[in-house]
This record gives sequence, C-alpha cells and structure tokens, in this order.
Amino acid sequence: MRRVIIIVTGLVIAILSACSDYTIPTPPCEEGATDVSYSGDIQAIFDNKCVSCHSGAQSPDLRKGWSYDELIDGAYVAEPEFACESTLYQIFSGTHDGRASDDEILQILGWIQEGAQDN
Amino acid sequence: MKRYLQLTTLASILALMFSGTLLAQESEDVYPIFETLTLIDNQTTFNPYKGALNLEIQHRFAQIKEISDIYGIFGSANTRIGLSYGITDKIMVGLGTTRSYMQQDLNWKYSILSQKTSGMPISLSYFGNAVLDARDSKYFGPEDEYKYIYRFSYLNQLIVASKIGEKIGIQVAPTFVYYNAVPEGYRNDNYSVDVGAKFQVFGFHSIILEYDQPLVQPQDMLDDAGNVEIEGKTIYPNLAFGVEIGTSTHSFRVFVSNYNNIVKNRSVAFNDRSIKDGDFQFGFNISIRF
Repeated sequence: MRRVIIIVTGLVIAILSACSDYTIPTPPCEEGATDVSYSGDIQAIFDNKCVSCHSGAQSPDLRKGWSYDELIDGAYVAEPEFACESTLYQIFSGTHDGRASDDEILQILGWIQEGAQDN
Repeated sequence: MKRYLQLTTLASILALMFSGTLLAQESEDVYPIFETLTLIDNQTTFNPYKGALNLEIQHRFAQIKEISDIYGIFGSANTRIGLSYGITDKIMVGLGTTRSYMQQDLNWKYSILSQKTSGMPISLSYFGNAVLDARDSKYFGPEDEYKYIYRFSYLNQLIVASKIGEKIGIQVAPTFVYYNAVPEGYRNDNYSVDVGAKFQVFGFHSIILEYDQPLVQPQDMLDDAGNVEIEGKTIYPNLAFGVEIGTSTHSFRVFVSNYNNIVKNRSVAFNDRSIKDGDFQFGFNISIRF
C-alpha cells in the first residue's frame, strides 16, 4: 500500500512539475489558392468529404444545388479581408481538422478571399 | 494564487484534524447520496470500491438552435469514454479519451474523509488530472517554439460534499486549472468554485444541478504605449441541470448544459457560451459499474 502511494505521489509530482506559461500566438492569415471555382473545386471537396453527413439532416446542407445558398445565408463565409475568421475556414482548420487536405483548405480560403463567388 | 494556496492548506489541516476526531467516535459511514463518479461533468466525492471498475460514457449533442436538426441532436457531437479503477476503497485512478481537441486524460481521486452518522458532517475528496491535447503540433504555435509540454493541462480540486437528510446532497469544490499553453486572450492559471446538488425525487431517480463560477478573467495584453494589443476573452460560468435515473449497476443522466467540453479543464478555462444568451445543448452520461 505504501509503495502504491509513493508511486502515485511521484507520478503526480513529476507531471505537475512540467509547467510552462506559454501563450500561443495567433498565426497570420495566409494567402489561399487563386482562380478557385465554386462549382468545380469547392463543391468537389464537399462531395468527397462532407455530404456523407451534411446531406440535409445536418446543417449546413452541402449537396450540389443547395450548398452555396446554405453557406451564404448561414453566414459561414466572411468578407474577403476577414477570410481567416470565416466559420467555414475555421471549421476545416479546427473542429473538422483532418477532414480536408491542406491544399483543399487553401482552396476554400482562396475562394473566400476572392469574394466567395458562385462561379 | 497565494491566497488559494493558504485556503487549500487550511482545508487540508482541518481535514486531518477532523479525521482524528472521527476515529475516536467510531460512528458509521453515511450511505453516500452521490453514487456515481461524476454528477454531470464535475467529480463527486464518490470513489469505486477496491477492485471495482467503472465505465463512463459521456455524450454532448450540438447547440440547441432549430427544429431542422432536432435541436442539436443531428449536429456535431462530443463524446468521452472513460475507465476508472479502485486501487483501494479510497484511491481511484482513471483514463479517458474525448473526441473534442483529441483530449487524453489521466485522473486520480483520493477520498480523505467520509461523512459519518455523528461527528463528521461532510465527505472530502481530492481530485486531480493531467490532460494531453493530441492534435497536430501546428495548433501549439510556430514550429521552432514548439515543446511537447504545451499539450498538457492540469486540474486540482478539493471536493466537499454533504448529505442533508435522506434525499438532498450538495457539494462545493474549489478548483484550480493550469494550461501550459493557451491561445491569445486566455489565462494559463484559472480558478473556479464548482457547486453541485442532487435531490432524490423517488427511488434512485433524482434531479441534478451543477454550477461553476470562474473566479478570474483573462486580462487585456497591452503594448509598450499602454494600448490594448490583445483583448482578454470573457469566460462564462457553466450551468447544467437534468435528471438521473439509477439502477443497481447503471446510472443514466440526461441534462442540458451551456458548454460542450466534457473534460472540466476546458470548461473552466475556455467556456465562451453565455447562460443569458441561452447557448444550451442536450447531453447524457451513462455510468456502468463492474
């Protein structure tokens, strides 16, 4: 029993002693891809990576024909100068990290930076 | 910080003094009103018995918004699965994994005092954890500054609980949460007081409630000229309430809460959802004892 207490106490002290007080700097907003087509590039990402869940029941509906209006009306996209603060971009680089490749995320960012056109 | 340490030391000394009185009186343990390891998200003073294994499944739906996603049930969810083991009747260790932020937690609890029929009106436990954020290293700052310990956060709390009569239980837990690395606008050291209550309506069925009040808020970061460079975020209190349906080996809890971080560390340090704005969601816990 005494040995268990010593081991647990030692473990706790070892873990607790590894402290730092670091503040993670907010990364600058990078440049996204250029000449991005919504129907060609962005919808293809949604078709391959998103519609298995976001197909009507789970908001936003990202199926072809529905997705653009859902993103615009649902305020998932910000003005070009605030592209990195867009909910759509933050979801892909945050809670849905790993669902899209780095290149695909840059295409989404570039599409927002170019004004989120229905092109 | 100094005041917090003084209070913690004083509480520990009082606990040891009470435990001496307790032995002298030889009264019996009160049957615990908190019979699960967690009330909703906060720990209780309850520990598994020696050799007992406890499985906890904790699920949080998305925020309650509209009927189209059945008020969050079809939305993006958060889940934790945890196992806890009683090394002795008083010492517990546990492991858990949580979907959100890929959190892996190691936790431990020590039951310092048990409420008695006479002479000891409270139960007292110490709970601690160390939580690893297993996401990609790019989320912890520039590559050349990255250290592995930035992934860790820690929680330490003393939990004081008391059963009042046969049907009411209350608990209060001063809590200290430390993050080795936080995004701009947040604090590394965070303090809160967590309050919980349980009212047994009939049989094993109860109404349960939790409220956590943050004691400190992030400060604005100023530049050399004294202008605000980075604004401190607002950390909101946590509120959760619901019902508990118990059987001899299982406990089901269904509730609403204004936060979806199951591991308490994040709820204390980062909760950005306001009770006043009605940012609530549904959740449930299932506890199974082996």
